[in-house]
Amino acid sequence: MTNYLPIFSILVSVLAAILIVLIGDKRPNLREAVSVIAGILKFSFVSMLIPPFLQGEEIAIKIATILPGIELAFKVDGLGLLFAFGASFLWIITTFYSIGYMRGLNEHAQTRYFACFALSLSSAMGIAFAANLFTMFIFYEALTVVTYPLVAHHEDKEGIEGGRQYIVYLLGTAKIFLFAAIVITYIITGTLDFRKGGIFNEQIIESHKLILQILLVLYIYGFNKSAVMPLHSWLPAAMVAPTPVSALLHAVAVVKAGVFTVSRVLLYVFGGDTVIKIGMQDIVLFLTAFTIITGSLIAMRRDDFKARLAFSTVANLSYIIIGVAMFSAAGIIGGLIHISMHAFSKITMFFVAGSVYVSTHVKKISELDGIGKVMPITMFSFFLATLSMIGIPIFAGFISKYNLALGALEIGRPELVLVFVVSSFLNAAYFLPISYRAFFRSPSYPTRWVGTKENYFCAIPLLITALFTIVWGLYPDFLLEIVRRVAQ
Amino acid sequence: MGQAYLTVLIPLIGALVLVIVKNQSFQRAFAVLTSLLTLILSLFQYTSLDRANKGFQLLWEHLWIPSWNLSISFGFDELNAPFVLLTSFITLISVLLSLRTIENNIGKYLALLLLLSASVNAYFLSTNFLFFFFFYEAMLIPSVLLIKLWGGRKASEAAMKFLIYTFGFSIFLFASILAVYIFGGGFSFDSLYNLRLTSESKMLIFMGFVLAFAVKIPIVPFHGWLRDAYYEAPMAITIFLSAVLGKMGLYGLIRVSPAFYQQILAYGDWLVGLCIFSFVYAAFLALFERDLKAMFAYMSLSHVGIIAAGVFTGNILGFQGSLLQSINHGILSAAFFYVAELLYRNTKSFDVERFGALSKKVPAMTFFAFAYLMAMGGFPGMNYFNGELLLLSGIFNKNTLLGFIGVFGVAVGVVYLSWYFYRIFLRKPGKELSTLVRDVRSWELVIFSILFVLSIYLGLNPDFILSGVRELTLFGGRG
Repeated sequence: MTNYLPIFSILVSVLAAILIVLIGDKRPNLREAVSVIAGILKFSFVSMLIPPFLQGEEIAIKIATILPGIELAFKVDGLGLLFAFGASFLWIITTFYSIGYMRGLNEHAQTRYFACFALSLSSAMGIAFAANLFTMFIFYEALTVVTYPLVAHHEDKEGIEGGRQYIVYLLGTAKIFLFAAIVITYIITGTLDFRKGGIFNEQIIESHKLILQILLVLYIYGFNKSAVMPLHSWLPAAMVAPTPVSALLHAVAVVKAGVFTVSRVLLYVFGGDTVIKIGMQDIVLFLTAFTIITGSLIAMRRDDFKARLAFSTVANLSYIIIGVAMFSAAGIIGGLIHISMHAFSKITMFFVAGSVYVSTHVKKISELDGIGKVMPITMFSFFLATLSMIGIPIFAGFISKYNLALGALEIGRPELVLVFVVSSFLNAAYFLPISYRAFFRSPSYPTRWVGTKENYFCAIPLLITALFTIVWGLYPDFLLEIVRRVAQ
Repeated sequence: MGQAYLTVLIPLIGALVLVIVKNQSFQRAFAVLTSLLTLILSLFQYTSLDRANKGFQLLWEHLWIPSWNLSISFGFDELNAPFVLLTSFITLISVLLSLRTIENNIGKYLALLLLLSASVNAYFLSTNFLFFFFFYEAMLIPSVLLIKLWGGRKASEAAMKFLIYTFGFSIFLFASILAVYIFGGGFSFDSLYNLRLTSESKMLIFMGFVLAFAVKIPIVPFHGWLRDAYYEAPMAITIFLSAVLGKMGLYGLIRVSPAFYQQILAYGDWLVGLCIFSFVYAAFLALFERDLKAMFAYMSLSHVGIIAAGVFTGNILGFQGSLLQSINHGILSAAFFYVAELLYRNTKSFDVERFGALSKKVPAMTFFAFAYLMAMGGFPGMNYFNGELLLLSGIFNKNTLLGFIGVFGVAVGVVYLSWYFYRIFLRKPGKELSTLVRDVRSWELVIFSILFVLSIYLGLNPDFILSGVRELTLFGGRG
């Protein structure tokens, strides 16, 4: 019997979006209930896929054949499951947080907001379970389109400008680079399916070396949601969005979809052997290492809370790609597991930035002196997330960084270990001062935080995600088990 | 039942009846009925075709001058059938729209429109070059009259320009057809494959075809008539021009080019290059145009460029792409012009700069405009994507550099499309004309929905058009 859970996991939030629009602003509680229920359902569907997957059951669904070699089809594998699991879990928490945030600030167009949010999760599931480039391309583009109203949510000059950059970068690169890459792949191989180890055979590698080199670059920048430098500037620009949207962008769906798709292409369209044979491994490693260091350096100089987080994300995304591009077991494990590990740490941080904004309307780090006293849960959670980002043992970030370093040694590239170490120091250098200011500096004037209170709708979700960075740090086996299947 | 000639005969009879009976409400109802009947018939014929069968089907033949072995004959095959279906479909839309927009002499107008439809269908259905050419010219009369008599302020000039360009360049078509008759031994399409000539002479014949069709399609630099004709014609006719008439040239290319395989192999790069140039050049024209109707006209010009390029790639991917995208383009350009018409209806303006912020005011129209935009922008899963994929695959196969230029043109297309949408539907604050726009309603909603459903259906099932055009044997050998 065919297992339709992947389809259900996509459709459930489409249905939710329709219901949300139908219910509208008149009954906000019912509307948000729909979001929550859909989130729980989606998470259950994804979770129910894990046992059969671990038992080695093949879950594949074919909807339609469009052209020879091009199908609308879904398939469940470890990589997709990892992404879907993290995204669907974080959606539930983000929904609660969104309720607190949007109501706390009395935001406009909340119906549109929640509907688009639901749709973006459908797109993310589609990307996760796509069985070929064509299907993935559909949902990748859909994700861009449905998140645009979220990025431009405020509809003011800044919002429109940020949204414009967002849509121009993402749609433009998808059209120019990605579409070209897909067309070329289709001509060369006659198929767009994902296959472990790649779809290019020896003969093609021999005869089309240059084309394949170009192709790889087209893919990396075509899936521009991965924000590899120099095409990263849409990501900081998209910071104009409401904070839960930034959290969605950075932790749940969007950029994770970017690195997920790049990983998918590296592992299942090219395959390690091909990338090494066409001599592109060094280039990918260099581009990502450069992004890691430069992103961190830029983050240090940002005083805007969300902008600092954004550049930190730019750097961290390249962790994932660099790990996958090592094509060694530990490297792939470290890279892929970082999808989840980073997600939990970074979503906490964004929640914190938003929670601070809801309570105080402060956006700048330099104005946070002494805020830890009035928002203890929030700022403590931030501290936990910081430790995870730095990669301190027992925190989630350690698991990925340890494996990444191991991977670098496996392939005999100790200089990459240096990159990770330096970037960890930089992480400490730009995140720890925030906690220091919050807890150890006194407010700029004594009455600065009088009347400031924590919004528990915001604080509880972010505490949960912060605690999860410890849970994954102590008990990573569940996630590692899934990832190991990919790395085998 | 379902003989090919009926598709020509029914609109022709309809046109005659409209001339005879003078009652206006009868004329209106009868025109709709006729075009609806033709569409149903076309659908019936289309689905009853045997896709495995190569040769003409539902053939109807009448010996005209036995001593010269000349006959008039209509038939369907895998190449012309989609075009006939498209024509019947677009005719119905044009007729319905005309009922809304045309006020004076509607009887005569509808008669001419049906006559136009009949002659275009006859052109597509002709199974020999003689009538192929005859109807190629014949459709000029109703179309020129429609533009001239019911068009805008400069309609006479526009109609004249259209006539001179098409009629003038058709002399090359005539010359090539004569050459085929003399050296290939007859007017049948098969004669193309019997030409016992040097490769240079064949190239001359091929160039004759290409020149004539390049004006009809049109391809830059033969597009001088396009803007005025599209712009001055009443909207229903613009839709017909863009969705169907341009396809006559493309169909011509699709029909003759497999026979000139060697020539395409030798000179295809140049021809593809010219078409791609046309594609990109017109895309920039559209980008800098602030008049909506003109912008869509240039968009149409741009897209037919890359569709024509597909034929000249000489490989099956490009060829399939041309056929598929011709139909997709017909459907979507009709949709776009229809949106423009709704914006124009109460405002009498196509000026993009005078609208804005329509999304909240006319949600249904915004939805459809956005859906068509996604489709035309090549959103995967919708109809245009498949065509683009095939066309670019074909072009990349032929020449990688041209492939990349093609991709660039596609991207420019996305830019002007989204910019137009932003300026009209999203940009705040709305301008003075926005308050006058009315949303899509009643049966127009049905038309919009059908166009939308079609763009998804063909996105998921391009085989509806393509089945039957599968093998590479099309080129070099017999089809």
